[in-house]
Amino acid sequence: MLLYADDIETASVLECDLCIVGSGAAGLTLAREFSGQQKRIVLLEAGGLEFDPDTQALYECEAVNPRTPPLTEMRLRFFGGTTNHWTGTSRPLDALDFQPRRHVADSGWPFTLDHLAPYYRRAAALMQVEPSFSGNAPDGNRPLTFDSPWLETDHYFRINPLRFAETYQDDIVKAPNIRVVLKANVLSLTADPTASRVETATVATLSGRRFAVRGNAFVLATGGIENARILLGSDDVEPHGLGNRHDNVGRYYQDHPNVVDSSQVAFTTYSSSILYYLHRVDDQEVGRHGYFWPNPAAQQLWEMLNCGIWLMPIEEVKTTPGLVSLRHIGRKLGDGRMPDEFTKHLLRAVGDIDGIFATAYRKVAGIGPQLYTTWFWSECVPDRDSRVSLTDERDALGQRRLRVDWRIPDQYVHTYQRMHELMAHELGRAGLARMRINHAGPGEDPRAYIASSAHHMGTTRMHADPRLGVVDADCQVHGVENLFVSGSSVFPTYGHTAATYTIVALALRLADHLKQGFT
Amino acid sequence: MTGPSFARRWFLGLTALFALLGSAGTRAFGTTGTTPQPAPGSALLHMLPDRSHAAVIGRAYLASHPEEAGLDAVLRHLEGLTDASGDVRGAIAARLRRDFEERDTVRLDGWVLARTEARLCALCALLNDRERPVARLSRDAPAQPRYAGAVPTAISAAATRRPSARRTL
Repeated sequence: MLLYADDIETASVLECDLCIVGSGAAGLTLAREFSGQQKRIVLLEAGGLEFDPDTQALYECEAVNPRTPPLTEMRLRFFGGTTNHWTGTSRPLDALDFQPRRHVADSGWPFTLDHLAPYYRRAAALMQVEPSFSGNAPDGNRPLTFDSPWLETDHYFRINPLRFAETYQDDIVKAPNIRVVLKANVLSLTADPTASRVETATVATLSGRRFAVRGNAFVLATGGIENARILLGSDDVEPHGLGNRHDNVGRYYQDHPNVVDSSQVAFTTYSSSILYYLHRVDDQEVGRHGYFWPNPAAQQLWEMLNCGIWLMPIEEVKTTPGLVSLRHIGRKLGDGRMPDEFTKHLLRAVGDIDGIFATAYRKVAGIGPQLYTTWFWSECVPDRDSRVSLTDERDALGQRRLRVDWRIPDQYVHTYQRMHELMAHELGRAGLARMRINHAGPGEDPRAYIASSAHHMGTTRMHADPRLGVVDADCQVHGVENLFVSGSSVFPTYGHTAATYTIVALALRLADHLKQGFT
Repeated sequence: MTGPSFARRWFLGLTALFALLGSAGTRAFGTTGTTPQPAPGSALLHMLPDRSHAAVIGRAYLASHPEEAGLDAVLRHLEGLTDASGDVRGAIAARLRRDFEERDTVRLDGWVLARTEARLCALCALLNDRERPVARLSRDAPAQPRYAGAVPTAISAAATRRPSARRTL
């Protein structure tokens, strides 16, 4: 059933067994798991079925690091959440991401990759990608093979930008036991006097309605930043926010910093295996993109963070004005908005049809030059001082806005240099290529060139010890028996891959856990 | 980043290097290509189809390593490779592999090069400076080096030979 919050009487109370807050990858996955079952589900979504600028403006926040793009551009606040514009890049975390590493402070998860593997397989089916990410690619491309004790070359990402809302809307909206309430912004959670149990969620609309949802269990699935915002704002019983007795909520915030054109690679001769490392799309419209990866021994020896280097045709970086305009138009239309200066951009695209055609031809024909640029992706070391926190400024609903203070520790710089050097040495040793490393000379700092990946993680981190984390291994908020968090905010260590695949795997795992008795 | 013309010269310099190192590249990729043949009596410069571009890299190396800014010093470091007998190309490839394995590399304009190949480029630069303007390698009209007397015989002899088939990027 689909409802709009504006149709619900002020001061009324919706009763349910499970209240899910947020309808992005995590929220929709969870809700779908309960579709057609006995439990009564309420799924609260802050936006409607389409983009709305007034609702989106509720994401506005203060950014301390100028490299942090506006949250309003990174997340989408309507049914389906950010899956309405995500790129679809999928890959599980690596085994080492789950392990404590001596050279990465505060690293490790409370369980292993093997434990999560069955959920990854289910996530693959749900996200319509094959659960294989290494070796020869199903599209026939083979990786470079050469003997290297440090560098692995046979891993790849799957790229399928599945629109969750479009794909699974019927499964959820038509389920008799699920009520989807749109335009329903959760302001806070109200706990019992001991803050050991959530009783209700307070919901508000931009038109002024307010009501409550009472449930046996609650799941926050509003994204890596908003999850923390709701907990911090739930301060009627716990003055510093629910689940925040040890001052961990909002801390350890991280993103995957990435650097485009981090280096150039000049291959000594052409090999079709180079295609393995370029973004390509097969007949089923599933994309793949291989990368170079420092193996665990290399990471340990040189005390590197987990990272990877992708190849790109140099044209994609040294792009033409027409391509820039074309991408601008596509991005805006993808967000459901009319591009500003539409005519100007369209004319520019038409005027540069040669440049666009040349790039398109290369993609279609699979022709690559022998000089490539690289794209560097890395995790960051968990850092308590990298955080989101509440400001005194209020949004249209009276909620306190957030300050995002994204910090990238020095170990990132070390990793950037080491990884590029490692790849340069290994490709050079094999006689394959020479590399030119950018932003790593004396006095240079690659952090000046990073971009955000819009992967917001860590703000409600998972840890068995309540002093060191916000949620336990079951994603239950420490000390609050019926409150759970789903999404990348629970990642205690981040890996170098996109987060959504793991978000979905964790949501499936949480659904199994909730089915066992919490609802 | 440097200007486009300078970057282009670097790229052409690398191209020249890769022509020199062609055997290593084809071996690693496992693709077909020109099979390098041991060339008795050949030497380093024989394998560089375009010394002037390699010299761009060489000058950068010499600028950052002024202690090697002399023909004698560079040749001393390249000892074993300048011997005209044997498989020079194979010897170079082995030396480069060793350099990369031992992380004995140099960073020139951001490019990570084996120290040996940087020195080979330095040799080009020094010889170019010495022989200018006569000693140009050309497929059509090989020139005689004017100052060959100061250069080991094998190298000066090689410098007059036609370059092998040029590999392009």
